[in-house]
Amino acid sequence: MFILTFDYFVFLICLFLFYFNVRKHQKSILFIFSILFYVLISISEWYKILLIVLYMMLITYSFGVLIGKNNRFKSSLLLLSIFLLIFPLIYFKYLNNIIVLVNNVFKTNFIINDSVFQIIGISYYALSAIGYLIEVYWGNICCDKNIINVGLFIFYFPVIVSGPILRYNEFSLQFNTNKNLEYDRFVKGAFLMAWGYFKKLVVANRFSIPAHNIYNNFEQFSGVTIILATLCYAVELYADFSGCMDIIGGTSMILGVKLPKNFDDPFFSTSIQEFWQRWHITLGLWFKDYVLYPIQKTEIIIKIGKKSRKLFGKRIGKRIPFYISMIVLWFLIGLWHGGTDYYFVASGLVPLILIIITDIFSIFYNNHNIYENKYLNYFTNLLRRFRTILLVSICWVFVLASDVSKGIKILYRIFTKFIILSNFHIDILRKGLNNINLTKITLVTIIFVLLCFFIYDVFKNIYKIDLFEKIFIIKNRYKVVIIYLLLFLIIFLQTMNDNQFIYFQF
Amino acid sequence: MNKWKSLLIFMPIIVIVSVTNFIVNYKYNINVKPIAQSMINGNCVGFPKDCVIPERGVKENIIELMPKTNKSVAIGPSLIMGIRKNSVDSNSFYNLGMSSSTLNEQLAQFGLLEYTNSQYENLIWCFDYYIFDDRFSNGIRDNSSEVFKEHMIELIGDSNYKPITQCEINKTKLLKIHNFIVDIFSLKSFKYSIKSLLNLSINDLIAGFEIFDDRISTFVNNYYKPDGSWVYSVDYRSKSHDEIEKKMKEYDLDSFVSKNKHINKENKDTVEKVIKYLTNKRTKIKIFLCPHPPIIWDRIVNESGYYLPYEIDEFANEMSKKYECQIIGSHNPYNIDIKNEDFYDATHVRHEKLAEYFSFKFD
Repeated sequence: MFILTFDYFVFLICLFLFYFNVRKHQKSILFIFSILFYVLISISEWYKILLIVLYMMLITYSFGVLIGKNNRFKSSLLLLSIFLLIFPLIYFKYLNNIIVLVNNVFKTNFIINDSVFQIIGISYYALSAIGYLIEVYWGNICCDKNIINVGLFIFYFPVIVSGPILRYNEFSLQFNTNKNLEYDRFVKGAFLMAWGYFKKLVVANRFSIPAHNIYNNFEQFSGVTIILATLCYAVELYADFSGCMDIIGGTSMILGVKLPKNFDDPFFSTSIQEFWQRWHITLGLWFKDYVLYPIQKTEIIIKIGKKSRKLFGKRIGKRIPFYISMIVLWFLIGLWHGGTDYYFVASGLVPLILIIITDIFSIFYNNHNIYENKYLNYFTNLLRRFRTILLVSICWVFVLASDVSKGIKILYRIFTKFIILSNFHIDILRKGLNNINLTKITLVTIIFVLLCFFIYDVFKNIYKIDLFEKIFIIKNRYKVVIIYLLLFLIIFLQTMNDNQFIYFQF
Repeated sequence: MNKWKSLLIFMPIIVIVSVTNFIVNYKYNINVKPIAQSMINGNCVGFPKDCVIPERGVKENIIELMPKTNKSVAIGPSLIMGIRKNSVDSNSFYNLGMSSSTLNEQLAQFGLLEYTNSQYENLIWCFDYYIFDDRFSNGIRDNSSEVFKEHMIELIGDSNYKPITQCEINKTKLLKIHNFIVDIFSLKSFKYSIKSLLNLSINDLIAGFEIFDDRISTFVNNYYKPDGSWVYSVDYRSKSHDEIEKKMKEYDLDSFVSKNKHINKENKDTVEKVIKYLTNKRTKIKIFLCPHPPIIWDRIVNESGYYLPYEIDEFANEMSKKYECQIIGSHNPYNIDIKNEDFYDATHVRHEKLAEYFSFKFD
């Protein structure tokens, strides 16, 4: 993965040299380097990348101008542009997976095309481009008549491979003034990058060891152990994804570009709905604004809502159109995650079922703080958060299993072999730890990280102090010391398992 | 400006990382050609204890510098690195074995031999897990040799192949320089350099490689012989039987022999195509199957799920019948009556025993 390599730093140094010295053409320089970055991460197929870049830019720019000017055929132009932008996404990314899924479910024999070229990042920037055109259509923004601006928005290099998904107005307004290389921003950005590398190379990679090793031999382990492995995967996924966000956020900060937040302490969520509002925020907001709300405003959904209120009463009736919209929403989210069977289940079906069930049950319980004592409230919230993580972990069982039937077998084992009493023997425990390659250093790292997380948690939820924010605003000389400390921890605790970010696959 | 000067605090770490990596791990990388040339000139090349040797670079340079016509070559992982010109009974023999050599790396070696027009009548090819288990086979440590791997794949393929261009060769050279710089500044390498640093003496750190006559047998550390074969250090060769057996019993078998894994079909096809291509060029091939020690083999047999050893043996037999290649050895030690004490460790046969148990001579 390019941003984990030395080449990325060489790339950044070259970019900074041009970007901060030729201030008149900062946007153009950033655009050129963004295209260069995209070509470098797929260097063997560089000409195909350039074709895709040209295609996406021309479609987005030209339809943006046409939709912006034309009132009569606006809807048709929008639909056509969405089709043209989605087509390469479906063809290059999802078609083979969908064919495999259809063959598995309906026992058909459609042939997959093995030679389809994999385009990195198209799932992210296609959504950004579509969002831009929908905003122009709604009249919220004016179409941009400068193709470089449109190109930079779509292919801004830090967000190409893992997001976040940008909104045009938030992004373009940041280029109204030229950026200088500011010491303060540089140190903060470098600090954020070091923190991101630490999360990925130390936290994510260490937590992945027990998670993957236990899942590869799950028949040997009890349900409790498998649950612990799933929770380790939860930490791995979060550290991997948010680590990547921090690295690119730090890079952007140095360039003077603020990126939207993609995570908001998701493990602090006390309900499923809250979790999905704090996890991969920009994706959730994109689907909410451009899929869920438009669906809810369609005539058919409004009619269904009226009929269901008449049949079932107001309380239940108003939920039915909401559930129908959610089915469409989560189907598309499942599809976005790759179209494979286990991702459909993990990122579509299971979250949908959980949200609907918790929505139904929310009629019967109150999720708010009900005690005056802050410690009692913290404890209650801790239980709710643990419950939420356990429920969300059901999704991750399928992701980690990489197969629906294996995922079901694992869930079955969790419930049927929850505790295996004979495993509680020191020799078996020792052998078990050896089998899953859980060395002392990995165990110590895991315990240390969990302890830090607990301390952060207590400070944030009881004393309302965000320790990370506090560290972020300390004097720069102390930040430099922390960067040094993080570098040492990375050197001695890193383990480069599979040197790839998980969300890179989308 | 003063504020920016405070960032110079990071300079020491950059210097420490690069210098440590260079001294401990990469100082021989800039000497691969002289090392290979010394061997071609008939000398042994010895290294200090526990240092990192750029095997891939050395063997690549041997291929480029060796005479264009040779009697025999040996290709495979470290399991064959003890095969010497005496056991092949030819002065025109080069051992191109490399530790953990994967299928892709071996294809790159074949490709480079083709590119440099190096002819050889006989080939000793070691079949092992690094070729047929896709957990390992697709790896290629030095990506600058990809072009030769692709070249070999085109040669053995059905379509017309394009010769390697000068532009690709220049790109390969640039890639080597790029990889060297990346490795020098690598934090991952630094972690291992620190560990090695603790075991090395000052002498080991500053010493270079040593060139000496093949007739001198007093060198105590690891060294290459002029034919490219390897000699382990005296310490390694003189471990006690008890120590070796203990290591065999504690050996993490799954790290070498994948459980519940079958032979990779694509790799089988590729290997067959290489054999067919070489046979058409009238190259005689001996397939070497390096045995496991009896302790290890007993574990393979007693624990279920180890299919690869049997499947590789079966495939080797199939190739032998189809292309008239001779098979030397077997994964099953009881087939050749080799004992635990005939091994250095859980995988490597003692080099003096290789010639005793196996015949590497070609008629």
